[in-house]
Amino acid sequence: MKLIICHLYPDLMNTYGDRGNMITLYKRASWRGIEVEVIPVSIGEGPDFGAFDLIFFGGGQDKEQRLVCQDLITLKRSSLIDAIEDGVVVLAVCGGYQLLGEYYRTPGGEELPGVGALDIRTEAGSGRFIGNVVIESQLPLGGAPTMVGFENHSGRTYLGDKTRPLGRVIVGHGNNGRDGLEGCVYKNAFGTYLHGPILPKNPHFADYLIQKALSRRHGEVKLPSLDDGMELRAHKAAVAHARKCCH
Amino acid sequence: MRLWLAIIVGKICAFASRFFKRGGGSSLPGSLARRIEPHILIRLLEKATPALTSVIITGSNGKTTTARMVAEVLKHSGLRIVWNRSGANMVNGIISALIEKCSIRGRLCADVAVLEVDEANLRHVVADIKPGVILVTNCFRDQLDRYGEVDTTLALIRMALKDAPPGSTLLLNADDPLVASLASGSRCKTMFYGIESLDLTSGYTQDRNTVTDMNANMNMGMNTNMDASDMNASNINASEYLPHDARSCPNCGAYYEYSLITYGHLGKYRCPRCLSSRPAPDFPALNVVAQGAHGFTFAVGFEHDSEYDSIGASLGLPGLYNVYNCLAAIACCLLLGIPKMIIEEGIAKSSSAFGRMETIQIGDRSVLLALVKNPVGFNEVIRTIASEGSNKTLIVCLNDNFADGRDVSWVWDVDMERLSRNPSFIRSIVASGTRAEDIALRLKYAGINQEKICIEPDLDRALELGLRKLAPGETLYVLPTYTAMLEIREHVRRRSHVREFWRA
Repeated sequence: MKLIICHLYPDLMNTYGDRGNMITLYKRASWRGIEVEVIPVSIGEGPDFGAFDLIFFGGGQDKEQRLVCQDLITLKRSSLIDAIEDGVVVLAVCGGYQLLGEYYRTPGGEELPGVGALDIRTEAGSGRFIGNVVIESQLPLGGAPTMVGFENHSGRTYLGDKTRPLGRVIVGHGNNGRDGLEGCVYKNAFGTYLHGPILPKNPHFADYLIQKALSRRHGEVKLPSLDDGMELRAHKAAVAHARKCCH
Repeated sequence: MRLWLAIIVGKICAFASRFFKRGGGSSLPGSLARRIEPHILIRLLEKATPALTSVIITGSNGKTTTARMVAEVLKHSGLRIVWNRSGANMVNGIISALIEKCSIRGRLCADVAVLEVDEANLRHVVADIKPGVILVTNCFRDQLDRYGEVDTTLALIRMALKDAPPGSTLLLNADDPLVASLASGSRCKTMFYGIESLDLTSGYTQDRNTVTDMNANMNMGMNTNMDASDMNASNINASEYLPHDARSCPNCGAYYEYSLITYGHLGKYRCPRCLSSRPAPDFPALNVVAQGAHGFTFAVGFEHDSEYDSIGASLGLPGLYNVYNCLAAIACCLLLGIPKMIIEEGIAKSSSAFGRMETIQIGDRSVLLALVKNPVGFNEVIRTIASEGSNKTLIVCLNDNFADGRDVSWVWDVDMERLSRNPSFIRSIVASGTRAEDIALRLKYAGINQEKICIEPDLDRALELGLRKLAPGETLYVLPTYTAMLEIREHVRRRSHVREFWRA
């Protein structure tokens, strides 16, 4: 079995340790004997996104994000929407999350269009949300129902009718600091503000993504379990640490 | 009267915190004094006689080492100096340093102030201090959550430089495109330093992707020439994600082409589209040659009375970033008019700044302390310790206090995979600090055998564990973030007899 991962803009959108998500997907698949191929896709390329099992889209700085936004809309938009509608697994973090939405409204009120693959809207907020986050997820993850991470964003994201939240905020701000929701789920596409990076300390979520990604091409796949002692210890420590810092 | 009271309180506080051994008293005296007299900085400098020259050193990495080298040379030349020596580089730390050196009536007994200033605090002090030289070392991702992003850090420096008096000289690293871009829009006279020629063949393990064949990688944002570790080399390789913060030209957005990369995004760059390029350095480092893993020799060219001359430097510190620190210090001293021979002697004498990389003896074992605070610095430390030997014992201490940066995700941008490339290189690693579990997990995913990783959040117990694994004559490598360094150094000191850093 082979897992084909597309890494979107690895050269431009790789702030905040996002590379750790790729390492985690790669390792957790390899440890189970699953071959992994990572295909970087950047500016100027227009691949068929339906050919990938999993697409990872990280966060970037404002300068890079502007470059990426233009390229996404002109070269990648329709194929990316088709792939998401077709059930390709997508993990989009922070900037990537915002860019997959309908638009980003600047402080001046201008609406910069996004890909429009996710029914979410983001507007600029005053002040950044920075800190540890714990959410309780509604996904059937098995094991711990919590997810942990670190957020650092000034955008406030609001979900539309077609998307569900990734989880409810226990510690931190989440999508917008108001409705107590974090991230979004639409079909097999997942958007989130959680860095940390998100996957190493949430191995149940990493496995959920790998399992979904493989099942689309190979029929229902069951992943053998791994020795996750260190991962779960880090997860628990991060939950405890976040609670301690914020109370 | 208020100034007098502020000075007295500051001095008593510094004395008390030293007396009770509450750390170095690095910034508390300044904080108290400023509460009494908010304009204390400008008042103190006004009273300095006859004319105090100030040097401001700022940038992401290398501030402390560079400041220390400048201070050593100036001391060697017989000048009386004041400097905020223990890495206390926020406004309060600077004021504390000045209070320590002034008389009760506020008279500063110094000829030159060497001030290391944190990027975000720069704009609060530039106008007051009226510096003779403003030195900017480099601009890297560091503590992203505190200052936002690299672009923000650069913007902070740029904004501060607007307030710099026209009489100041701006000394910039030509090899860092972000730093070099500060020249435009400044009213000051600008001078550049940079590495001109490099020979790393002797004993220095350079990243394979840095010096050679960089253009393809930079253009594609990926590369294919990493060694195969247990990660499939054709797919995810670490260097693909090396934190090149400034790969694209700020004028037109095109990727730079490099004819030489020294480390990170530093080197000889040129934009293929708008043809902007690295400015020719006024102080070039020539024939930089590595002396094993222990240091470098090189020459620094400069112009003196319209004649071309050069200074020979022999640097006893590892890491190419220290060549930049040393080069910057030499250029700065030349600008201050220090004679060539004094500079050569002073540099040879200078030792590493507190904690940045130092060795402390505990009985027949030694502890090497190396501060790690961002991916580039961490990579350089790994590169240095990986250049010789095997079977090493390490302690990596990851704290997430404010001064360390609350966000620890940066450890995933560090090329930890290098530690597992040779399976016999690591005997044992102790993961410690407030985020011990995070660093342990990072090491596991870097391909280090889980059995070799031990988690002990308490720094003192971690040190004990590490020391116990050493045979006589061996070295324990301790890699802490900033606040972990302050604490673990105390524990090492208790076991040895290190001079307190405020007297070092």
